[in-house]
Amino acid sequence: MLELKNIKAVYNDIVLALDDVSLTLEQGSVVVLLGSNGSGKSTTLKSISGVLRIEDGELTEGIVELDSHRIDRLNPEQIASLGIRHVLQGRSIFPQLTTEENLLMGAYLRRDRPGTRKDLEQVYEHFPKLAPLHDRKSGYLSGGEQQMLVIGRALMSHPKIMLLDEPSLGLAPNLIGDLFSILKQIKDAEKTSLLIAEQNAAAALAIADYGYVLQSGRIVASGKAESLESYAKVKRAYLGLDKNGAFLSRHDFRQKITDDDTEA
Amino acid sequence: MRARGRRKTSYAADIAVIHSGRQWLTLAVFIGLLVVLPLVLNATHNLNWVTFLNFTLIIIIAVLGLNVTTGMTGQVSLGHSAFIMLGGYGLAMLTLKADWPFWAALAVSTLVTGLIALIVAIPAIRLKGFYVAVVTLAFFYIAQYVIRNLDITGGTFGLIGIPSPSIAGMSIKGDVRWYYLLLALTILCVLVSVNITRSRLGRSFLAVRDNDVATAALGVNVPLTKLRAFFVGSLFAALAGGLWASYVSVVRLDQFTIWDSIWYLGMIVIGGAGSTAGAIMGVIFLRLISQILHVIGTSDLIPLSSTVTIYSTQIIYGLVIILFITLKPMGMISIWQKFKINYKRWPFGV
Repeated sequence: MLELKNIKAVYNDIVLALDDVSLTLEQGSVVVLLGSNGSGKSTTLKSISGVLRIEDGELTEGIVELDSHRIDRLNPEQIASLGIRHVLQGRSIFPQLTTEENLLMGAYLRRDRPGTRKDLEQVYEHFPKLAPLHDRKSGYLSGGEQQMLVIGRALMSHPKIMLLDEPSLGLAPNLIGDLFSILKQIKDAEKTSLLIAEQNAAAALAIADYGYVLQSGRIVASGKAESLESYAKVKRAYLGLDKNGAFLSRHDFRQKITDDDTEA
Repeated sequence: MRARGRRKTSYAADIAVIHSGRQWLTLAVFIGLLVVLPLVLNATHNLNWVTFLNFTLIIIIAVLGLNVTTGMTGQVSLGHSAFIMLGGYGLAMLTLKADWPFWAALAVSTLVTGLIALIVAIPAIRLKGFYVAVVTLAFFYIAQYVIRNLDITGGTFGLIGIPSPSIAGMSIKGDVRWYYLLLALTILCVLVSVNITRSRLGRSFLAVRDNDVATAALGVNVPLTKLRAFFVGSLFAALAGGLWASYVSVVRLDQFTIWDSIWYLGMIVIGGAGSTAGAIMGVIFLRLISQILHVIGTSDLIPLSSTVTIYSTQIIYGLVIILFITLKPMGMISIWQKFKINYKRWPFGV
């Protein structure tokens, strides 16, 4: 079980990115972090994986615990070795390596070759599109293939916890649905806990057990996925849906919000 | 008819250095040509061409090292010349002052240079990009200063009379014998370099270069990986430096300049950073052009005074490099790769 207790994250000693954020990720569950740009979703994930420190950020208050052990003072590679895999935002592939070499990088901490081979086959089963591209330089893959590649790469180590930063970013709408159903399959098959930061709340909430809504570095709402789905404020402000569940265009987004506010 | 777009069925086949019998044959013919090369050049009594070949081989070994540090791992090092210098001076001091046998001296000076590189790398790995270049630049001048002001290194005069190696009782003297020794060692270094790229270590080097944050998130100790890259890179450099010192039998400070460091970087950029074959091509290309221009510049082919021609060749040299980098920014290796793909798919190339 992963727990964040009242964490405060600051970049470069001056930019306050998270303030008093607490959340819990139970083993084998899917938790989604919702929020608009700059709300602190990515920073939350980075505070867990330790990547925050590489980017000149630090936790000034609060603690992060994995199974009741503090992990917030560890280096990213130490945290990774505890079974936490952070899939960074924006397809962080190694473009000069082939698909297979990228996947093998995911198994960097493992020394058992037969097991690695077997897992490679398993990743190709989860993402059949990757199999014929195994010897292609990953920089030449399409955006969707690259997103599958980074998720597959994280799976190569059988993580206990996967932190996914906007996996749907830049994917075609039909691919987003596929991606989340694959994530659900993975979670069911491998008992991996997933913490997903997403803007596409509708897709993420569909597979989530629990959700948190972030705004300007604070948690403003949280609850079971079903209850968040019907949470009117979330719909309007973060999901971009009107109260009947239809997507808002940017133009009527402005209008609807004022309309609904007067209704309430 | 030859099968087009041959499919490989395993990662082992993917990363195999040699894919087919035909490639073995090509390689054998190529090495055979390299073996007879000095005999042909000897027949024309142009001995300076064998010297040129020997220096080219030494520089190939050195640049293979820079290709690990800068090409694969992305740590821009301006101190490569200093590592070559340390290897050279190390060998000179061990053989002349301590009377060590050549091979033991070469091994120890190489290893010690590697350890010094680790110390240099400790501040460098905490930094990124230009700052790494500045740290290694500073190291170059520190090394130069220390060597200039010590007695044991011969100060500004350097050390003279460095012995040649001998193999199985045969002393390696003369350009042609040196050529075969250097060729064998270069082939060995190329094999090591190619195998680094295929290994777990090599993948972590390339991963750090491509995306260090994602690499750390996968459990790779990024600072340690950079240390390894500096260590391995400096081993190649020190080996080259030791061979250089013994080949010319002297070490002097002006043999190892900061300009050389910069040219080595130029060689891997022109060849195609990160690729072993690219590094080799880059060295040969730049050295060949400079040598050809030098030959033309000092000959009577052009009816101008030699001062004019020698300086004009420098301008042409610079122009060729600028043109090459503008037109082929991915390096010579990209031309080769494109050729290979087109050859495989002929007549349906791009």
